[in-house]
Amino acid sequence: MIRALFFKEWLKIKWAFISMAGLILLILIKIGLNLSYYIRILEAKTYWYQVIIMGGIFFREFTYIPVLVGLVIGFSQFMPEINADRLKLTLHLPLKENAILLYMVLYGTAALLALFLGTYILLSLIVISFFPFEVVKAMWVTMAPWMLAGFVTYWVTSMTFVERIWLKRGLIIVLGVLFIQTLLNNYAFEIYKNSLIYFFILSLLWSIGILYTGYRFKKGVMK
Amino acid sequence: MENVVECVNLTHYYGKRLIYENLNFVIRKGSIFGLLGKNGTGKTTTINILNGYLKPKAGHCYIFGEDSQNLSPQTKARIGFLMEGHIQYNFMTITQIEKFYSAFYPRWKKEAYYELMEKLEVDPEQKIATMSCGQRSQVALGLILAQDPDLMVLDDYSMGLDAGYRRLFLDYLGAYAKDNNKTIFITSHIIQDLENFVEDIVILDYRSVLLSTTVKDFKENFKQFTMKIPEGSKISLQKDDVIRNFEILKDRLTVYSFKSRQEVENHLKALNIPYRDLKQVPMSLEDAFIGLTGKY
Repeated sequence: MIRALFFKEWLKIKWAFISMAGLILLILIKIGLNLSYYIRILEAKTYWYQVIIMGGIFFREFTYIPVLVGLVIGFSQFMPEINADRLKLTLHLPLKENAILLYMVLYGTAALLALFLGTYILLSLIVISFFPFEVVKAMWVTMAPWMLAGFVTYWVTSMTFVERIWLKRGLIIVLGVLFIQTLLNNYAFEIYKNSLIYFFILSLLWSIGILYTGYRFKKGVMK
Repeated sequence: MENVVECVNLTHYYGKRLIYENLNFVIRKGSIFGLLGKNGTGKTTTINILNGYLKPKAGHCYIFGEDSQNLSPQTKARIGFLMEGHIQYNFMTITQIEKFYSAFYPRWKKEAYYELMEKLEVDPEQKIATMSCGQRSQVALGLILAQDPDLMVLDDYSMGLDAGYRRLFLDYLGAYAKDNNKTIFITSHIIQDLENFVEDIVILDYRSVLLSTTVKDFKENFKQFTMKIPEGSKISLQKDDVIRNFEILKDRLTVYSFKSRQEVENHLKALNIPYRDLKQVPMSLEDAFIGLTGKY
């Protein structure tokens, strides 16, 4: 049953997933070419100085990409469910309603995780060919809150779609945006190093938010 | 006989707007039950309550003995659900959707689905989104038949279908239900189609339940009388125990009643209605429905 449910989720997000993977790949190529270009033009030591001493973030393009990925995957997964109230069909499947909703979110989260892990691995391979491992580690920590913002965006999107009332949707979006924007600073390396764990714990609360809007959907709450 | 569905004192409001109050009905095992009413009288509301998608302001519905607000997965597997407009996962193909649902239902009958699909002459890899409304209705029906549920809940199966597809839908459904002793709960805004299909009915009106009976009793006991009246005459007639509804069109008065011809005539005479040529006119289920609920 779970496999069948995941099959349905894949059919919905397939093209979104592939296009986001393509976009990430293009950005990675751009970053790789930029690094190669600057090192050749500015000379390695000057560019190293800019990056390592001055803290120039050369992968700034990725600040908002996880948010975009979360939004696109969330839309592609939940729009077809809400369109014409198809979620009723899904919740009618012979599984516990909460389990169905959590499996759906789990699938979307796993899709995001795959894309973000892919980004980490490929970017690490690019960075390690120009810089020492310390820069790779700093890149991981710097990008982690942006990735977290991507997950939260996805959870907020899924939660918002399942909510029926526009006023409540608006409230969820406002709260979500306020939270997400605190994760998107990109003016220096590792600025979230000490607070990341707290943001991570807080972010997890959003992941189960769909149970609240799902309950409201199921009971037909209209206020 | 065992009751598959029992709804007790259902009352629902949307905001301050009353939909209905104290709706009671039971659906017997193996019967075909029709919930009839004009648009906005609460048919889909009732189906939403039955499926647990809406919590009524008061009252309860029980399906196979379970409260509809908390149906177990085992009970959900016994209920086939057709959404209004034959909504299905339109991003799937004919093959994909069969494969998807088959994983959930232990009694899945693939052949029941494909038997219907063969009649459609569509490509197995065609997406449901690219099909006509009639074809989509057959996909939805095929999936329900393949599920082999004990209770089928069908919300306005007729929406968007032409006469041919409506007939095909009911013919298939009726034959299947009869052969397999299935219970059907159906709503439709096309009453004439249900005349020879449903057995028990509840007729909803705005804010109230008009009638709960069998089609046979309704057609036998509810009568239409037409008569001539002087054109332009001021007739003061009101709905009451004898006259359930009436219409005046130029020199013709039509009266609908559950009473006998003699009782209606006595009543009209007591009210000093200047009628002549009173005739009882046979009615179809649709005529009777309109007679009871009115045209507006």
